[in-house]
Amino acid sequence: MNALNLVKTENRKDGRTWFAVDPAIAYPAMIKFFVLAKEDEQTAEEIPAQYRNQVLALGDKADRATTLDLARLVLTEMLHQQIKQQPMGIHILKNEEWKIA
Amino acid sequence: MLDTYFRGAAISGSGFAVFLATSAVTPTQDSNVKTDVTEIATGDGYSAGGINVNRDSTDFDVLTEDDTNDWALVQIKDIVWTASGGPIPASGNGARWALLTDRNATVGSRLIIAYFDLVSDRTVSDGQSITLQNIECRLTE
Repeated sequence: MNALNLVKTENRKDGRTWFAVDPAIAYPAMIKFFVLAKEDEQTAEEIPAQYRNQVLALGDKADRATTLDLARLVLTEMLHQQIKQQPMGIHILKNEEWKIA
Repeated sequence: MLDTYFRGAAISGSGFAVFLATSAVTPTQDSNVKTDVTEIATGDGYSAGGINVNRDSTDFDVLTEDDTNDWALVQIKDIVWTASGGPIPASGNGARWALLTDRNATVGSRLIIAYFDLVSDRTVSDGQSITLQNIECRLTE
């Protein structure tokens, strides 16, 4: 999965690459990605290594907050890898339906 | 932090550091300085006070502005200790906590800014590494 397809760039001119994240687009896509990863080894390999075990350990009734926070962290790391670990900013747009708590 | 942000006070040592502590004392919101907790034994690739983290966008490499949850988050670059000549810690209990501090020249006086639970005591053998990946500080906006 190409994480860059889930976000838009923001031009803040502060030396970082900023991405705007619409939760209504990114989080459902990430959750779908997690479900697929649990069924398909090749997809699981696309999850950044430091989060792979946590994603694969998510159960069918995983806690909402844990799942959404993991979705944010995995998306962040995938974007960071796409820009070769350069300084980066993530702007998660307001959307009350995707609030964790 | 407020003194630095609002009144322009300098950060001791002009930067930050991350060190490892044992489970002997559990850090809390009331932990103020490094000597409030117990650092792991030094040696074999681990130095007192831990690893320096610079106050720049290279070491604090990811910022997140989360308008859905009204959070601001900052991630720190990967912090790595590689055991050389023996295990880390060189003796005693393993690393249970990682703590972010300022970089006061008097190591014991360093202010604790944040702490991170490593979940269990961590010990690595000669040649192995302890790596803290994407540790993150979260502020409520």
